[in-house]
Amino acid sequence: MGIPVTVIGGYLGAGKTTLINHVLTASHGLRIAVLVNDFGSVNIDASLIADAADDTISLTNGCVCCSIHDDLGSALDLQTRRAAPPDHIVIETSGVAEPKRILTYATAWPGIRLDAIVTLVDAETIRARADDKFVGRVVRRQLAAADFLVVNKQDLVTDADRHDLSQWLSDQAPMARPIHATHANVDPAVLFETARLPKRSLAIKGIGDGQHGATFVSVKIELPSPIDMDALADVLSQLPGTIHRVKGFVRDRVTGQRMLVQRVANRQSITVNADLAFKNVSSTLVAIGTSDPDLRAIECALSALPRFA
Amino acid sequence: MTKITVYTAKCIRTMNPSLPIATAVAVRGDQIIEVGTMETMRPWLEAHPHRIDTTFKDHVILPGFIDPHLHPSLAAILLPCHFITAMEWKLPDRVCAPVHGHNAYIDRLKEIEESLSDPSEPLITWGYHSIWHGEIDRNVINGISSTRPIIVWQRSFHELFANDAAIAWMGIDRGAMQKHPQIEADKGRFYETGLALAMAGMKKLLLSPERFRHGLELTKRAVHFGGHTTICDMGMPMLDMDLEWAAMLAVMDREDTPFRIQFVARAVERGGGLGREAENLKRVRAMPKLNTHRLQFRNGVKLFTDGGFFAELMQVQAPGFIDGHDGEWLMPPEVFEALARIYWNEGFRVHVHCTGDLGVELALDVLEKLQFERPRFNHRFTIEHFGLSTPEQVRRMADLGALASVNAYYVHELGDAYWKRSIGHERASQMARLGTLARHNVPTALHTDFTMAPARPLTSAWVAVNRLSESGAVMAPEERLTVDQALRAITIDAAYVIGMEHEIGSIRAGKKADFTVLEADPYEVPALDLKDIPIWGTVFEGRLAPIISKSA
Repeated sequence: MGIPVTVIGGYLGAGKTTLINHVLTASHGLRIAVLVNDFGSVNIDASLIADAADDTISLTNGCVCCSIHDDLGSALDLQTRRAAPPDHIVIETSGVAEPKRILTYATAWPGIRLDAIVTLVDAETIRARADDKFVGRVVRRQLAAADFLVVNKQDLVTDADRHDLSQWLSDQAPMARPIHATHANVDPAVLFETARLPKRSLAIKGIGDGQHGATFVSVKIELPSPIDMDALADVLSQLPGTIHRVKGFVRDRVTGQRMLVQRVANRQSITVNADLAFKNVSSTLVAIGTSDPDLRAIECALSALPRFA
Repeated sequence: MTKITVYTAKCIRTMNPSLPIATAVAVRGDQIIEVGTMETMRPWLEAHPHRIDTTFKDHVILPGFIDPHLHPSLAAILLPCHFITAMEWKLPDRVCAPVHGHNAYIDRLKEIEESLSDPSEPLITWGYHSIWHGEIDRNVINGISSTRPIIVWQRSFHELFANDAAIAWMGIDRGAMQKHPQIEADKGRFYETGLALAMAGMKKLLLSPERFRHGLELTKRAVHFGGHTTICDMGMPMLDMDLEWAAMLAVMDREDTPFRIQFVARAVERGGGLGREAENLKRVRAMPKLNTHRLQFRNGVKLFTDGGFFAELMQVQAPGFIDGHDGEWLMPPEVFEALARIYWNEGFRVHVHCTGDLGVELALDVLEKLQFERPRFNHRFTIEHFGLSTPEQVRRMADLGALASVNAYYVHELGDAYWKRSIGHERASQMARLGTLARHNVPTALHTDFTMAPARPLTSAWVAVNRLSESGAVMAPEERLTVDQALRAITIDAAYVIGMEHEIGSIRAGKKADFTVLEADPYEVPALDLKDIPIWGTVFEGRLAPIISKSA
C-alpha cells in the first residue's frame, strides 16, 4: 500500500510554511513526516522539539521535519526505511516546482502513494502571479494540478473580490475543491486521509473561523454489505463539490473481496484490499465535507443502495 | 635571486594589443619580466644573470588558456566511465573515435566488456544517443552480458538503460519498476524520476571516495591536456563540500598540478531560500579561509535562473518550444532577486546560469533593478552559458555592464537537433549569439562547462569562429567571431570575466608566467583547423609542463 503522501504546493508567500507549522503541531494524533525545501523558515515552539539535527527536527508528538536538499528521492527513502515509518508524509514543494514532476514522485516512488495535492493560493495576489511573465505559466499549472485549493488570506479580500476570485479559480482548476482559509488554518482531517485518524477526530468540528474559513464535518455511513460496485461508483461519481473526501472498506458482491474505496476531491480509486482478514460483514465509509445537508443526502443515497443476501 | 630564463619562440601571441607579437619572453620565478625581442630586453639581461632557453624556438606561445566555467566534480564522476560517443572526445588517457550506427555501437560496447578482467565489475558507458546509435534496450544489453552489470548512460545524462544484472546490482525492486510511470521495465529504460531511482542505486559506485579521487586525477590530466593554466570551478560545492574539498586537496593542490583553480561559491546551499540570505553570505564569506596557493575562492558567487540546456529545460520566451513544453526555474525569481541583491550590495562578482532567453530576461531585469538601487561600476555581473538570447538583450547587457561567458559548443552539438526538433532554425542557429556580443563590445569568454563540452579551449574557439553544426551546416554566419576575438575569449577576456585580468590572460611584464605552447600559429592556420593544432604543453608559473599523452 505504501505511506500516503500529501503534496503541499503553491507560490511563494501563499502560506505553505504556515500550513506546515500547523501540521507539525496540531493535535491530529498522527506521526507525520514533513519534507521541506527550506528548513530555516519552519518555526516550531522550542518546547515541542525533542531533538534537532542538521537535516531533521524531531517533535515530542512523534512528527518529524526533514530537509529535502534537492534530493527528494533520498528524503523519501529515509522515511520509508525508518524502523517505525511515519503514518503520513507531507512534501512541501518549492514555489516554482512543476506539479507533474512532483506528482510522478508521489505516485511512483517505492514505499509511498499519493493521497492529495494541496495547492495554496494567496487570495490577494494570485491573479497577478498568474499573469507574471516569468512564473505565470507554472503558477497556473500548480492550480490545475490541485485536488484541494486552499484559498488563503480570506481576511484580506473584499466580498466582491472573493466572488470574482472563486469564479476565476473554478476556470483555472475545474476539478479542485476550494477551501477558504485565513492564516493557512485548515482542518487536518481534510489534509490527511481519514482512515488513520483516531475516531474521536472524525467528529471534529472545523477550526476555521466560520466566516473566512471552511468548517468541516464528517459522517460515518453504514452501507449494505455486500454491495454492487457499479452502483456505488455511480453514486460516488455524482458527489457535490462540498464533499472533499470519502474513504472506507466495502465488500464486492461479485467477488466477495474486501475493497478499499478512496475518493479525494475528484480523484477516485477502488482497489482490492486483501492484506487484512475480512471477517466483518459491514461496509462503512467516512465522508468529510463542508455541507451538512449534502453529507446527509449522500448518506441517504449510499444507505439506500440495493441489499443482497 | 633566481636566474632569468628567456624563452625564444617562432612567435609569441601576447594577447596584449599594445604589443601583440613578440619573439622572446623573459621569466624569473613565476613572473614575466619582459616580453619583446632579444634586442629590446637587453637592459634586463645585462643587469641580471640569465639563460636562454630555445625549447620553443619552433613553437608558438600564447598566454595560458583559461576556462572560466567548468565542473571538476562532475568530470570526476563521468571520466571513469567508458565513453562511446557520436562526437570525437580526445582525453589524455584515450581518444574516443566517433561511433556512428547501431552495430558499431554494440561492437564497441562488446569490445569494452571483453576487455574488463573482473567479471563482476559494473560497466557504465556514457555518450549513447538514439539519433546516432539506434534503439537500445535491456535485451540488447543482456546479449552483451547476462552477468556483468551494464549501464548505458545517455549523452545528456537524462536517461539510462540497464541490463538485468545492473537492475539487480542497483537494488531496484522489480514490482516497483513495473508500475513506475518513468521506468520502461521491458526496455530497462529509466528517465526523470525513474532515473533518480537508478541513480540512488549507482551512488555507491559513482560517489565512492576512491573512484571519485581517481576521476579527479583523470580530470586533472584532461585540464592540462586542453592547454589550460587556469580554470574556474563555477559553483562549489557541486554535491558535497567535504567530499569534494578533501579530494581537491589530495589531487589538485600538489606541486605537479600545472594549473590553478578559482572556485566560485554557490550563493545558496541546496534548498536554502528566502530569509536565509545573511546565513548564506556568512558561509560564502568564510570560504576563502580554505585557500591554498593553487586553490582559491575569490569574490565570485554563482546563482541560477532557468534549467539545463541539454535537457531542454531552459525557459524560452514566446513562441516557446515547437512541442509546447515549458522550461523550469531553478529557484523562484523572488529568491533569485533577494540573493542577487545581497551579494551585489556586498560587492561580489555575481555569475548567473542562464540558458534560455527568458532566463536571461530575468537576470537582466534584476540587474537593472540593482543598478537603479545601488549603482556599481566594474561589477562583472556575468551571464553564464547564454544558450538562447535576443539581440535586444545583448544591447541591454552592454547598457548594464553585464559580461558573457558562453558555451559555444551548443551550436556544434545541438544546432541540428534543436533546429529540427526543438525550436526551429532561426533561434537554433543563433544560439550562443557571439557576433552580436562582439559588436556591442560586451566582454565575452568561452567556456566548456565540462563535461557539457570537451575541456579543450581550441575546440571552443573553433566552434565560435566557424559555427559548424554536427552535420556541417554553418549556423548564423553573422554570429561568428574572428580568430582574434575567439582567442581573447579563452585568454585575456576569460581572465576579465573571473576578475584575474591583472594577473593572467596575456603575456606582459608583471604577469604570471603562464603559457600555452602550440605547434602552429592559430592566426595562420585555416580557421577550420583551429581545433586540431597540436598542443606541446604548458608553462605554469614558470615551470614547463609538456603534455605526455598515451595516445600521442
